[in-house]
Amino acid sequence: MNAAARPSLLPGWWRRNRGWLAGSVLLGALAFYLPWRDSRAERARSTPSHRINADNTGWSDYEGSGWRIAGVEFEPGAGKAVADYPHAPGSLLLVHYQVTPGREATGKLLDRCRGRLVDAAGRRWPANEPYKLGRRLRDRGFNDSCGTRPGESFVRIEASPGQAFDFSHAFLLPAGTRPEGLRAEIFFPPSTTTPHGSYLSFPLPPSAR
Amino acid sequence: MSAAPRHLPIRWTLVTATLCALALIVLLRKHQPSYEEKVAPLTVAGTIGAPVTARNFEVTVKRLKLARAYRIDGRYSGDPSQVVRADGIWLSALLEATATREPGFLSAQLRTRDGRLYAASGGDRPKLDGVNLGETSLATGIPASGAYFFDVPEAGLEGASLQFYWGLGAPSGLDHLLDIDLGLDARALAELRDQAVPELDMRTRTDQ
Repeated sequence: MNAAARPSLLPGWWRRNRGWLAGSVLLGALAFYLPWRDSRAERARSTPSHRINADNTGWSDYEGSGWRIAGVEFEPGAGKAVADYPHAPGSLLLVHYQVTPGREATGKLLDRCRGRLVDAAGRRWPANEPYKLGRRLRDRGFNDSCGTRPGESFVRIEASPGQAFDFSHAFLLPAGTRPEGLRAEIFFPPSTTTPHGSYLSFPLPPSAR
Repeated sequence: MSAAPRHLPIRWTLVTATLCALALIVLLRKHQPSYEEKVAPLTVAGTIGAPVTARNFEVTVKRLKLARAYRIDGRYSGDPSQVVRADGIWLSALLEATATREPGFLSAQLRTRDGRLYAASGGDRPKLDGVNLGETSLATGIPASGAYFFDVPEAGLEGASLQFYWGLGAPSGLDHLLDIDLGLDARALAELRDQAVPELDMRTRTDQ
C-alpha cells in the first residue's frame, strides 16, 4: 500500500490522547500562572502596589478612616541645607492632611502611616526625609505623625474616632520641579492593608500650583 | 502450536529524533549559565569626565587625587587636628552624583587589574562632613558634589577601574554596576604621584 492510499492515523491519535493532551495544556498554563500569582501577592505584601485614587474635593476612605488634603504650600528655593551634604537650594512642598479615624482606628495604628510624593516619571520623595526636613517641619509647629501629636509632659495626644486630626508631610524637591502632575500618597505597611499593598493617592489640589 | 513472535517495526526516524533531542538537552545544560551568572549585576561602562547613568543614579567622576595622609578637624571645637594615614595610599575620586528616582545610598569600590575589590572607605574615615560621600544618603534629584576615598596598595592602582552601585553592601543582582575606566596607565599614575602631597590639609576650622 502506498503512502497516499494509507489512511491518516492523526485524527484517531488526537482523539485517543485528548484527555492527557488537555491535562498537559492545563498544567502548563498553571505552571506559568501560579508562580506569577504568588509573586504578585508577595509584591503586594511588601510594596504599596494597589492604588486607591483619592477624591480631590472631599474625604476619601482608606483603611477604615477618612482622609483629605487640607492645604498645600509650595516654597521655591526654601530647601536650603536640608540633605546630608551641601547642595543647591531646592523647593519645599508641605502637604497638610486631615484624617478622621474610623471606629477601630487608634492613634498608634494610624501612626504606622507613611507618606511620599511621586511624579509622572516615577521619581519618589519619602515624606519628612532627610531627617533635617522632618525636624524643620516640627520646628514650624506642624505635626508629622498621622495619629498622635506631642502633648504636655511628654504624653502624646491620640487622634479620636470621628474627630478630624491634622498632620503634615514635607518634601524636598529639586530646583525647577513644579507641583503640577505630582501626587501625594499615604500608605500603611503593605501586609496590613486590605487588599494587601493598598495606598491612597491624591492629585495635588490647584492651590499648590 | 505456539504463536510466532511478533516484532515491532523500528522507527529509525523517531529513534534519531529522540537521540538528537537528548544530545541537545545535554549540550544546553552543559553550557547554561550558573545561577550567579544569571543574576549578576549588569555592567555599564563609562569614562572619567563623562556622566554615566544607571537605573537610579547618575555619576560624573571629575578627577582623581593621591595622598599619603589627610589632616582633618579635631572631633570637637578646640580639639587638635587629626592625621588620617592610609595603610597603602589614599586615592580620592572627586565626583558629582545624583539619585534619579528614589533616595538612598550610592556605594563605590575600586577594582584592580587583577580583579581585587577595595570598598570605599566609610563616612568616618576620613571624617569630612559634606565631602566624604561614603554612607551618605542621596536625596532624589538633589546632586551631591564630593568624593569617595579608597585606602589601597599603591602597586594595585595601574589599570584600576572605579565601580558604583546602588545600595549598601554588595552590588545587587540584576541591577546596574557602573564601571568607570580611570585611564590609570603608567604615565597618568606618574602624574598623579607627582601631584600627591604627603599630607593633604582638609581642615575647615581655624581653632586648631
